[in-house]
Amino acid sequence: MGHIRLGVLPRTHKWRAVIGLLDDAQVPAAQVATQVMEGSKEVLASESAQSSVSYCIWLLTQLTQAAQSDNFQSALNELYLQVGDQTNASDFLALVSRTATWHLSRLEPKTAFNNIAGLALRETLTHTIGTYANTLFGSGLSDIRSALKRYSTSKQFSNLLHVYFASLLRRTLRFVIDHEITDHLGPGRRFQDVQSLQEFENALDVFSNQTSRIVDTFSGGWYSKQLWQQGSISQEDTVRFVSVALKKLRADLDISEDE
Amino acid sequence: MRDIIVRCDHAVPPLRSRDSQANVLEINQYAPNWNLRLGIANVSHKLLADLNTLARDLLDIAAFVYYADQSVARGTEKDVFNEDWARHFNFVIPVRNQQVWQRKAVVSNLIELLTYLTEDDYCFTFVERQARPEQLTLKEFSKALPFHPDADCVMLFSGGMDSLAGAIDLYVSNRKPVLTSHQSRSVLASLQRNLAAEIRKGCPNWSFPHLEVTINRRGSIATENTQRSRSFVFLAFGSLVAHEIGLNEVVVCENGVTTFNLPRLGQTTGTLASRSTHPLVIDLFRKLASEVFNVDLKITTPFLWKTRAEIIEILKTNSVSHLIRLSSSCNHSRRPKIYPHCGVCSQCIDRRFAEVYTGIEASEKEVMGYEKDIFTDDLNDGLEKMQPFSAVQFALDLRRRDIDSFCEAYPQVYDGVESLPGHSEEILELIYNLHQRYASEIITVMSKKDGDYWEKRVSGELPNGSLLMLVGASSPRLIDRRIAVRVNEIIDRVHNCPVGDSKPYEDIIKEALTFLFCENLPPAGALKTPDSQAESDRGYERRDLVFENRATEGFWADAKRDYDALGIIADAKNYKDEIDSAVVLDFSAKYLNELGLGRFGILVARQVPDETRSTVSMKNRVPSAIEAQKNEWIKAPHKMIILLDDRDIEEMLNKKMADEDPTDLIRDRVFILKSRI
Repeated sequence: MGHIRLGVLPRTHKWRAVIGLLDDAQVPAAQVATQVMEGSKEVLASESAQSSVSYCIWLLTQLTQAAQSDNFQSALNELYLQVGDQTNASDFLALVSRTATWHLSRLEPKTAFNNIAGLALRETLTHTIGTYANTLFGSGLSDIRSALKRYSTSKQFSNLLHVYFASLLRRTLRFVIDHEITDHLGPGRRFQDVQSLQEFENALDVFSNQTSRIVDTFSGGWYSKQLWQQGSISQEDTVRFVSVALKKLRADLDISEDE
Repeated sequence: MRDIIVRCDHAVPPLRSRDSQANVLEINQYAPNWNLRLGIANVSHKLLADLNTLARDLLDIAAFVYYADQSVARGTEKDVFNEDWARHFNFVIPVRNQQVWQRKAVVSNLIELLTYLTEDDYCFTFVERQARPEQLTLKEFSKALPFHPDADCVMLFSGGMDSLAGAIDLYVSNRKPVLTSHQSRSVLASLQRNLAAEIRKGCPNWSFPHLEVTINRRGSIATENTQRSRSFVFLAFGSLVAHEIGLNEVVVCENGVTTFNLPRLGQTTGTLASRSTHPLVIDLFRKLASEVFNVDLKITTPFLWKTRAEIIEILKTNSVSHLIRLSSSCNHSRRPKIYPHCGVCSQCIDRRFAEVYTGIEASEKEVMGYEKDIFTDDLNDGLEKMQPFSAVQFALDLRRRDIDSFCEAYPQVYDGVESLPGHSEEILELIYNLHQRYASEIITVMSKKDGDYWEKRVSGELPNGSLLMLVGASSPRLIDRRIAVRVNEIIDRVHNCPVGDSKPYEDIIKEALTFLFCENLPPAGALKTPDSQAESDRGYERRDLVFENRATEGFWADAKRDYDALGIIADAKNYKDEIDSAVVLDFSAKYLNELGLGRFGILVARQVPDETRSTVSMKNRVPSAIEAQKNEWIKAPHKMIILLDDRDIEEMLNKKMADEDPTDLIRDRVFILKSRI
């Protein structure tokens, strides 16, 4: 009963530009990526895209703050994450996934980007907890808390957001480019074989990591300022932050604001 | 998102403000405007007469949802970000048991199930059904099988390979399943019946009663063929048959890889990959049916942890692999008789790989009926190339990943973990192992086919668009992508870090050493990640870097033994020139002592003196860093200071990427230093 719907990029002006760059073996991955972001800017600037990213970042702020609180368990319960003493990392990630999916599915309009934002959140938390304990497996609630607590300083929080934005960017790029990639594969085409395609994809991943560093420059400051001034971070605060963050990302990539 | 009011069987929708903007879809099982024909075939008259009104309601609801799903398009390929994929359905459905269907638990279960299954939004208004003559079509076949009282479970029977194997597997386990099917098209009905008949021939001790539900459109054709809600019909029909017969087990036979249906390409998000038999769907449906029928319904999935190739092995073991040719897996059911399989849809591709892997293709080659041979035919650009290539790409990606990396890359695996019995970590391991076996099967088949067609490939006889040519001759290195990206990024940052300001360089080196010696390693051989929290708690950022050494094996365990290194202390110097002896001596005096963390340290600088010059007297007899390093080792207490520069960091990072031990470089340096004394 399995079915997978795949699609190709429409031959409209903005997507033809991406296809043209993919055709040319001399064009570096970063340039292709920038063109993809140019083509995606309307979706990225949409209210639902900003809301979905805002929700994910807000949840990250709440989790790092919960790790700082006296009672981690009850702080998580207040976020509708019902954990117990026996909760392990896999349970926790499944809980967060379910809660986040529920929230994101209520944002309208629903787009693929809402899903991507949620996947980036799951990836970020998996990475955070897995890296702290060397592996996700065998980690209990105290490891989860310690892993999250590491990211509760302004500097470390900016690192956490870097992981999130890098994943968001990488998944967005792959989402668009994968519509087209196989047409540029094979003898006589840009990607001669799977190996050359993998190198291109690795370059896209590096691009995503590096581009996301722009967020590092101000996210830590924002995080500590909000906590210092207000003692907490609201969803509204996060919406404003994400709006600025996405603008900075676009500016860094030299993507025009208007059509 | 498009709002659609779905008015079923002439029900009158209540007035709501948002509905004024919505389109109206009418679905009626009777005149006027009759457009849905719902039928059950091969059901005994007694069963129909007694059909529980709750069961009838459930079947109606499933049919209406399925009909509506097919009636509203989910957007075109121009919709890159799937902005038109989700729809908002506002159903108004007349039911016979309004009180049951209005229960909060029932409605929320129904909505949660359908939302996860289809990614659409739902709202249900259940109104009381007016008394009408039953419109359910009963197809009494003249030779209808008598209903069998010995039946012990209901098995969903799609006519695919997995359900074929399921029927055989149940039979050899002395089970007596009733088969239930959903006929979406007449050609499929004929295939399912033929296959059921062949199963009966091979399994003489059970009659395999076969019940079918048909949901036909009258007067229009479907505008949307993704059919994400189809399994709701399948499950609803199976559960109501079980309920009517008095059974409490429904068996769903689908291989695990299709069940989880992880994205093979980055473009596949959400329900672009169907979730027909996903564990969460099964669990949500079980809860719904149990709630509605007030029974403890059991839905079992015996093939959840099997690949399709492993399912073929069941058929081979039971000597019925010849029946495979009678089953159909193709997503396109309107196929010419000579080619029942298109060969290029995701289901055909998985089936083909499994057949090659298990050797079935070799023995049944003439009868498999694939229109396109993905391995050697010239595939068209676009979707025809994308599906088979994505399977190979997916397999290669899976093989590069350890379980943590797998969970990071495919965090969809967390969906439904809590709905499966067992410990969540064990479930994730099962999912991981299942996909590793699947990836191995794909790669083994590619290797085999590459060998079979090697001569044709190198002589240019294979078309450029064939899968073998697309993948190419080079064997991709199975490097963990996560590690490759991290390595490239750190190297890049080291190269681009300007000389002078100490802080940025210290940060990069800290990240590099942490990545090299603490991450992605078995705990016994790893250093402990420095605790940044502890540093900042003390109110300042430490300039030096201390790794707690708890290693019990490998180089760091040796360092603990040989240099009392309870901690490994590192420092980074962002000087333009080579570091000199003063830097080494200062580092040694400050940080390395017997009573502290031990006598092993790492000093990283942009440039360190060339070892070949270390024994030569320097200008004005000033001892070099290398001489100081040597002297610190010679005099008591013997201190080991490893001098590394940017190139060394890069070399160690590359070793890590190649799955080699980066401490080999440090071990070599220790040996060189000692050998010069």
